[in-house]
Amino acid sequence: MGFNIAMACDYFYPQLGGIEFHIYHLAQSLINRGHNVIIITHQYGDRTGVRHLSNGLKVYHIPLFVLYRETVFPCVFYTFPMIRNILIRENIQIVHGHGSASDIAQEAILHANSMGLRSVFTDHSLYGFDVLGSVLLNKLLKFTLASVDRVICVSNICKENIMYRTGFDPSIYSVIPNAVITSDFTQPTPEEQAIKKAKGRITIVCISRLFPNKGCDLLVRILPMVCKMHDDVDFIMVGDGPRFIEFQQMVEAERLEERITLLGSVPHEHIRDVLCQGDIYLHASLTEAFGTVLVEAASCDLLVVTTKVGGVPEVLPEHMTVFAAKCAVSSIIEATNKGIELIRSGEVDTSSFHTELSTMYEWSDIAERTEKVYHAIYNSPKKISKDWTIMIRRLYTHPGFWARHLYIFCAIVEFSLIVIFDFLYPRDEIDRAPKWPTHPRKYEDIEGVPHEEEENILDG
Amino acid sequence: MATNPTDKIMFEKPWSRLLWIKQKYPDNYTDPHFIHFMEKMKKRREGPPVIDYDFSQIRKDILKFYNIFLNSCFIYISFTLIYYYRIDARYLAGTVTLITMIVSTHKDKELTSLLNVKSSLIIIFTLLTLSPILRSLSMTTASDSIWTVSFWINIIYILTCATSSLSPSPHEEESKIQEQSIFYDINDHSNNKPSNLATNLLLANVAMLASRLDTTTDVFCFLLTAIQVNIILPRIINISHKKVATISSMIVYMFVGITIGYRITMIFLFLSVSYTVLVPRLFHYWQINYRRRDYEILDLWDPRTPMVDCQ
Repeated sequence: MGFNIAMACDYFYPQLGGIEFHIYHLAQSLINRGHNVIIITHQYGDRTGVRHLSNGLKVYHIPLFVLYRETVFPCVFYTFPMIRNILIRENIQIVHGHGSASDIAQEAILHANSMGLRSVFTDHSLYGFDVLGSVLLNKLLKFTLASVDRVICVSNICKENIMYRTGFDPSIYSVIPNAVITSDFTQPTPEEQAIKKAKGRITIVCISRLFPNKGCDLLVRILPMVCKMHDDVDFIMVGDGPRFIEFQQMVEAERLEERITLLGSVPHEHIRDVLCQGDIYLHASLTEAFGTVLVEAASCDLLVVTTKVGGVPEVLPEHMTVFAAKCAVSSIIEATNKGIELIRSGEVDTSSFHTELSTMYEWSDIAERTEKVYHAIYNSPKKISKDWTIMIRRLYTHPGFWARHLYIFCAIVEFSLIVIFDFLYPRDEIDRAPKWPTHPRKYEDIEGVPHEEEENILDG
Repeated sequence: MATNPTDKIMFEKPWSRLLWIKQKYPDNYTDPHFIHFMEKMKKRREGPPVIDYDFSQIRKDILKFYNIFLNSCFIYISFTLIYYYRIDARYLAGTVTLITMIVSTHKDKELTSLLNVKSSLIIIFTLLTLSPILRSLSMTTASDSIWTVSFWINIIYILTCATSSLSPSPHEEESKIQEQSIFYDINDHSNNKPSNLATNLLLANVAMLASRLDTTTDVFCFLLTAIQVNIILPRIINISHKKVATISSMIVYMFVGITIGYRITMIFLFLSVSYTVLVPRLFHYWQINYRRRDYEILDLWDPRTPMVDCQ
């Protein structure tokens, strides 16, 4: 008998990105393992109410005000009535929130804990301590996660980061990486390889949203310099963002229109075709919790040249990567030259990368490990108590005077709201949604990109 | 901190910090080194402050705001004299120019490096050309709007001007010598130069105020006065020096006292004293008692700073 799981996050389909794919594939894999999974997110345009994706994955798009970059306006109690209704209607046992910056994730975990449900939180990014935004976010995390059962992180550095930010018992933190559907990122076909060989040139691919923290300031200087050093090297840049215009200006100023191709944003399903045109993947990011794109690139048999930041050193075996010693133009150029030399001399055989990676990162394995975390919640001798008095006592251990009292005040309001809701909208009067029949299946049978099967307005 | 349950079990292979290999360790295994590091940092947080915060530096930084504030008061003093009290702007500009000349000739040989004839002429002719344009500019705007905008620009000016020169000079001994003398070494441009943004804000403020004046001569004289008092003099004289600050304070308080009244002056004086005395104390107290002591972790997980080391 599987669990009834609710994944809560601001970021989900139709928006595409690392967290969105993670949630989708994890949910699909869990469904295949016999669990029942629903997703709670906010509305996207006119996409509101209940939608169904492949394999009976139900998505609740709650109508909420989007404040900034698809994150809803943080308001601790506002979503409570809606989330409570969903959790009761779907008979949820475990609420699984994703992403520190996601308000829905944090609120869902808070409400689930208050309602006595089990909760898991997955963090996907790294946060510092000396930016006002991060300081406030960390304070909020300490409140919402005070009674969380388990925390999952995508890499070891991510785990250490959140351990420091929250400071709970180390045994509740697990590291479960992202995965990649390697069958979507296959090696170049013989025809593609033939085209590449006929050109007789080395192509370097860069895929990155063009934001400052992705190392655009470095890339925009590295590209023309590498072009000058090697006559047989071309670049393909994929990605859009505020720095796109700088790349356009660089290409025009240096007259590199024939050497550097700027593709702008490319749909995820076409990334493989772009990667297969290249020999080297160049990554100049300044921060990275995991770096799924590195795995995707290596899976298409590209040699990866990258900066050594965040979780990047943990992700790929050494023979697939060339690391730049520093986040400096000179170091990255040095590493790129080394990569070019390795490809030219044929010292590195990239043709085995795909096969090696296909066993390293699999969603079925990730789902199995996540399932173990869910089971550990129930089997652990140190079960996190969801008793209201104990939860308040836990909040009272916070060292900060003002924060401590604010936390307790919020907790008391939260618990009073439950009493009020139980009186106004009794649990028995909420209809229970029929469950999509699930039975464990082989993962290979039903993977693929999300597509919509049918749309329902909130039933009942 | 609770011990990791997996510590007791002996594994053959040591744990490695890699995600791509399947290890026998459970997913919630934590690197003992990191637990040790966390405990060390926890002790640090609970222990006494690690850095010996220098109170005199804080006081200096706080006073810098005050001195720039005093300096910017001179814009309003000269404006009020010309606009409200209708004094002859030529005398005012003449006096200020004379003071600038005297102060500059104190360092006679270096005078040429800063105020050489060519640039002086360019500045004067630019001002003469701009003055009639500035005067007719924003004629339709109500004076009240001009005062309000001028007030806010001045606040931004004080903040940018003070923060741009807050960072301590790399040559500590030199800066100490500089602090003690009234006059700056003109050839040394390291410490006494406000940012371009601050200078532009100041000029914007002055140009806007000048649009309220009646004649082109007034506009020209006012601009000349403001540029000398707020841009040229602070580069020759150390406005943070005790004597300079005292004289500036006396002029400003006397002016406020005579024109607005002594009650307002007393309130103004009370606020200034509490700012210069209490704020540094409070800030020092916060640093000692509330500032994070585990400062190593502050930027441990932040995005790295890109180094553009070759062009």
